[in-house]
Amino acid sequence: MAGNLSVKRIGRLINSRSITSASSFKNGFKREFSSSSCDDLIGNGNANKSSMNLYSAINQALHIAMETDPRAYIFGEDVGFGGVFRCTTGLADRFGKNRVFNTPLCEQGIIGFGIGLAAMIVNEAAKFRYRSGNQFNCGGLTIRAPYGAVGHGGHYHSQSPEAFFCHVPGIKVVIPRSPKQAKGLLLSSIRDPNPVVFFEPKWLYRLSVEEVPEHDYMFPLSEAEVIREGNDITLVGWGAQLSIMEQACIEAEKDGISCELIDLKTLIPWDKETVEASVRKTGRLLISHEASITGGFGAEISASIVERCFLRLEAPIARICGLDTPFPLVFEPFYLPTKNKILDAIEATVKY
Amino acid sequence: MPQKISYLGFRHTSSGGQRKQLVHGCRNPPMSQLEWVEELQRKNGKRTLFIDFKLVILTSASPLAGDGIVVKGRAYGIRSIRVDGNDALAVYSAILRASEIAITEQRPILVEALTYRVGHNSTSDYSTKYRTADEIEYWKMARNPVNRFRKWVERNGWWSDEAETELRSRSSVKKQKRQKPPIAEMFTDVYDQTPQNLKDQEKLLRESIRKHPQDYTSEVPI
Repeated sequence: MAGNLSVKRIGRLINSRSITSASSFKNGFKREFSSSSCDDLIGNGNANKSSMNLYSAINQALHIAMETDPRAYIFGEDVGFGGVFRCTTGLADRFGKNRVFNTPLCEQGIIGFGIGLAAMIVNEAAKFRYRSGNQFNCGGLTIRAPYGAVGHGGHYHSQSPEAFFCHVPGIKVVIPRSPKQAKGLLLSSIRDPNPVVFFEPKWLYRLSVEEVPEHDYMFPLSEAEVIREGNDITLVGWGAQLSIMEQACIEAEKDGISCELIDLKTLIPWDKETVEASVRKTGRLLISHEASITGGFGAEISASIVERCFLRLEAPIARICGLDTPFPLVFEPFYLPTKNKILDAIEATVKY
Repeated sequence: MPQKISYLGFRHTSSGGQRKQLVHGCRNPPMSQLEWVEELQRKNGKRTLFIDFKLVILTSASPLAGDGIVVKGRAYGIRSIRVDGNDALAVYSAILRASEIAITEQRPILVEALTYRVGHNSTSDYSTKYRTADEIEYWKMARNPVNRFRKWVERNGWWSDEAETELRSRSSVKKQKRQKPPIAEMFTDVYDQTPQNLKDQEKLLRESIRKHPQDYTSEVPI
């Protein structure tokens, strides 16, 4: 996996208090989602909020995590000067070089340093608790990585490798869709007593802007969120793809098709109950992700839902995903699951 | 009579490479650098020339403790030399001599050609965060390797400004926009033969293009 890795070893939460931190944001078009049930979880409606983009929200979450736990530290590629995506800005200045430092450009060494042994996520981090009979664990580990298409990334800077990690029992995989979600989910991931791989959609670092509360808040892991309610078909996705799916939902609405859109948020362990309840309501399911279709995580969702909802299903489960080729540069718009590809599949499923 | 080289190994490493490639356990299957070289020699009858072009950021901000790659090559028993990568003539003579030694003595040589990365690391990089703009300008202008080589060529009377202007005006500089490859090429060369799933996906994609041509750029021929 190409790109920068930023690894944090975080201990238990000692106490939490709200902070106000200056956050910079650049202008970008707002990605607004339908009413989110997560607003209740954030706390009082009068909380201070400021408009910020994804990397600012993540930066704020990291500041909070470092402040609330003196045993937390952050290390990785170029985090010392703020990171190539600006997510770690200000952390070295504020918390010192003992707690925020660069490592050599060697992912093997970074992960090994993070878990105390020179080995990889699969063989060491994931199996730590299991093979020691819960005597030891590396639950304090959170690995942040940018992922996904960015318009010009080509083969090596557009990949969506979440499916590889979803096949590893022992770690959690979390993917936020927006700045507000990213801050809450990142804090949960850091404080979760299991190793977590946190994928951040590169596309959204600057482009996605929304109002983010400034205090310390968390969103629960392994809970999916219904971000748009509907009756005719259920759509499931995560990360940047959700905004494409929502555009498709809005257009389908004009044709009289009512779509329910679910953000999975945590891919493993994933919230089967929420998806199942929705499919029992609608009888149809469409899954969409940027990663290639064969062996993608959509296959797992499809298989599980068929097991649970076979007699309820009105149509085969549709998957609109990237194609089975390496991620192309020139052909990127052809490769990606576009709004119209999703729309066509919605219509075909409903008319089955 | 120098023997023909049956294998020539080139490796270009970046500033990332210098920190990880010549360390133990860098290969898959993991083996030391020396073992890897011996493996190459076994496969290619001991005629292996190993040329490593190094790209390094020469700033005080560089965190590297050791002295680049050339010392690591020597530590592995590989005869190594460091040259100024911005000096075309120096690089040429070093490679020429290195290939002579590799052929006649049948041993690997490591050439560390140091240069300076003027551009940003990537489209997301703000390199002025860790180096000064003056430093970049210095290496871009005063230490520019192409200008240096040009001056040498001109001093020998083989080129001049007049010759350059003349050549530029003569050649058809009409920049033709290179056409993008056709959509069929997205599915070729994933494997040697195109499997069925890709053929099916091509059909679906063409169907989608037919229904929604506005989604796709006209620069790519269908």
